[in-house]
Amino acid sequence: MVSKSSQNLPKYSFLLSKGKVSDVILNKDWSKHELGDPKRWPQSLKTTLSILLNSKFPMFLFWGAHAIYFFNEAFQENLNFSKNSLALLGERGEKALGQSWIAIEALIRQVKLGKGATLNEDEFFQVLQNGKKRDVYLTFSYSPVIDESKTISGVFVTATETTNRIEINQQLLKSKEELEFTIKAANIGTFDFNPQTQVYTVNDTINEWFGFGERNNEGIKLEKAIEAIHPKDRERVKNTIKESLSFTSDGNYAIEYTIINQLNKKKVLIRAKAKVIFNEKGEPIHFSGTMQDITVAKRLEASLIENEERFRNLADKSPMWVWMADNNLDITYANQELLSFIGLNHFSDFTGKTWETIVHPNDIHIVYEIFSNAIKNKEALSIEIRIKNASNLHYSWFLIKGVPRFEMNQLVGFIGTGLNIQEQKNQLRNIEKRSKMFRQLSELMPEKLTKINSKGQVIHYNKSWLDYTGVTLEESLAGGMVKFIHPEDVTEVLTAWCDCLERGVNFEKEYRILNRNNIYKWHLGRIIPIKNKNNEVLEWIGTTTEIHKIKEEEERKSNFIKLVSHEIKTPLTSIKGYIQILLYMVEGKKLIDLEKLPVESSLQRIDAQIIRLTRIIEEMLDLSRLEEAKLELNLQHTNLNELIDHTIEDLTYIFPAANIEVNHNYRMHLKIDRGRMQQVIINLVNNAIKYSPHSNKVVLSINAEKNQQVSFSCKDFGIGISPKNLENIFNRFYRVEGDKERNFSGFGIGLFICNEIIKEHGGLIKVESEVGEGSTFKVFLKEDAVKEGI
Amino acid sequence: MKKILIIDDDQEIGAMLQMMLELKGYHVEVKDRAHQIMSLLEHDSKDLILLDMLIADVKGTNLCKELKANVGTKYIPVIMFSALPEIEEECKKAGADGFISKPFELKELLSLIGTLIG
Repeated sequence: MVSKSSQNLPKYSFLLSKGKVSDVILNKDWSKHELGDPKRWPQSLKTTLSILLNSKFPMFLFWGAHAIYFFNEAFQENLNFSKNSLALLGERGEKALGQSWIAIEALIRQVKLGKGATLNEDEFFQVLQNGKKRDVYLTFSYSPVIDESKTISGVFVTATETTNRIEINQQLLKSKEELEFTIKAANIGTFDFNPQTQVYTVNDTINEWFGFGERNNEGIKLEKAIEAIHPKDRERVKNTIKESLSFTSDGNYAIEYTIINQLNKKKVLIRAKAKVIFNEKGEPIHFSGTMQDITVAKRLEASLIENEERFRNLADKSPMWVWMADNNLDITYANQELLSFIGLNHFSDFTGKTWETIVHPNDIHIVYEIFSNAIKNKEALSIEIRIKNASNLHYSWFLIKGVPRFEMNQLVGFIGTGLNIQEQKNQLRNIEKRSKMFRQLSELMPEKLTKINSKGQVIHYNKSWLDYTGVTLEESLAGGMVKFIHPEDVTEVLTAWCDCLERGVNFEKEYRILNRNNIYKWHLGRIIPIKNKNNEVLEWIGTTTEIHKIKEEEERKSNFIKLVSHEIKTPLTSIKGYIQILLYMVEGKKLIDLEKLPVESSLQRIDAQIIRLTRIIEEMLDLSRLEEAKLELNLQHTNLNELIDHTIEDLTYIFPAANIEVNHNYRMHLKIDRGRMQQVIINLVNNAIKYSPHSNKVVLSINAEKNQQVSFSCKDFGIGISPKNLENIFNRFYRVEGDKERNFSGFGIGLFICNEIIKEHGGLIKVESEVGEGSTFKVFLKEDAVKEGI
Repeated sequence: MKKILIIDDDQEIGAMLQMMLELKGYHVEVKDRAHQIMSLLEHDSKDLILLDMLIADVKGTNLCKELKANVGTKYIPVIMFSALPEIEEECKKAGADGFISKPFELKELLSLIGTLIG
């Protein structure tokens, strides 16, 4: 039992606890140690070790003259100074603690000298905590351990970690420094007034403002501070301080006043705010606060107010809208013009109104888009929107413009204008409508139109142009129009156009342009410059009119006149010649042999030429009558067979060489204009003879035709008429042209007049011809229309 | 006797001129076209040619050019005439030695002929 129980009992009575430290004490060979077997250790040591080992607080102990080092489990785990600290247990302090020993030894000595317990506060250490290094602050308490002989044989040390407290203190200090720095940087004055001593403590800033001079620790006396206040404010400040210090006040102090800097006599406007703290007796113990220099701010404020007033005066008189908005673009000001448009008398009525209430619903999303962009980018805005007119409930277009306003680089809002652009919009719409109409018109019109830029390049061809040339717009624009102009005209056209382009004057020229069928047609080209106010050409508009028919007609007319003069001059020459011969005779001049002069035949020839001349003049008159549509017929019952015979007799006299044959296959009476019908017969026979250079035979036939019609025809054996010329043979001024026909003298209007005369009689002329074989002209007349009265 | 050839397609003019020039003592022949004129002149040379602008088969100026280009005929003086005074230049260019516009003064024509062939 004993042995059993002795096995359960600890080897040393003070080692009741278990742990690494206890194990070290238990297992250490104490036999050669200066303390000897623990069983014989003094009771005081054993008791102290027992307390130490059982405590959860870090503790250690230095025992005896050589300060043998002991520590507990909590110390070993949390605050150990070195890795193999367990091995140091029982060593002399000097050896165990190395460099730290000097400081510790001094404290131990003090305790041993009987100076009582000693605190060693907030020592910095690097310790091993659960095997890891850590910076800690420790506060040690050193207490003496008194042994049985009443002498101090040990020093008992407890360690408390104060790291947290130290760190907090350090942060506080840092914050305080920061605050002071901020105050200084913000140019804020701080003061603390002691109501008991009537002395101010002020910071550097206030000291500077007031011009108190060199700092000392005594602070500023109230009287001295009051002295620096401007006389006009002095009483007010004193009273306010007094009020704030009275317990009945709420202790709040707020005042603005002017001070005069005691050194440079400059005025400074001060805004002061403070709070009074009272003790339980209701006595003021602290009166501290801040001061601000508001000199500049006040001046700015005053000028701002003035500016704003001036602005409002101007804005309210403006015929334009003027508005201001905050940085959300909510309206903060609207001038009279704007207010009355949306039906408000005063801006106060505007409260709660946003753009939404006045802007057309379809435009709201644009407003938001533009506004949010303006706010985001802090840039000017410009927008066209419809706004409702309160007086007629109609929307009008407005151009709203706004620029951002900044204060201290911060966007504080916008200021802007609004301009009614409804009228402009209407005009623009009209212009657009008109120009669209014009474009459509220009595309549809038969005239060929071109648009040419100021450099002379064609930038548009209308449909007529493209239809005429048969080339697409793209090709036309790429290729230019020069290639369509007749090679004979192109130089003249280009020279004239370059001149007009240079001088900015109208171009007008007649030239031939190639059509889609590769035929050149005459055109009148006009190009007119469109100029601005400064007389600079903006662009050119070209019109090209086909004048081919007019040109042809003109040419025919000019040829006709040549022909007429030729035709008249020929008989005139003949007449003149005979008359001159006869004159010589009459005057008895011996220039020529009078005996040989054939007087009779000369007079006959003169007569024949006068008849020819008369016929030519008649034809010309007919032509002018036809032009005036005055061809009046003098209808008479006539025997056509006889009329033809008479006419041929006359013609035989004019054309003695001609062999004219007449076949009366049918005999008839018709109601016709004899003279006119004779004219037709003469013309047809005349042509037959004229165009038959190698034959003198002409055959006339009178026949009955189908459908109660009669006819007479005139057949020759001459050069004939080509099919192309046959189409035009009855046209005015048309004279068949070709190498062979060119030189036949004659009148271009003969067949035209014949045709007109026969048409007037209700008949018709037909022609059949073959080149080189001859032609047959056949006149058809209605018999029933003319039979009456026979 | 000087020989004159008249080429005019208007028979009346031809006849009138023939009558007048024969009275004046010239030997006159009248043709109404250029056809075969060159071969005619080859064996029957003339002292002067009166040539109308408008003749039956070719332009008067063309015939004139042909006459002036031919060695056998180039020295025969040619007087051209026309109802159109404005073609005088064209006729001179073609080589005509004289030009007279219709209707003409006989005296003028005779003096021109006189100047050219005496």
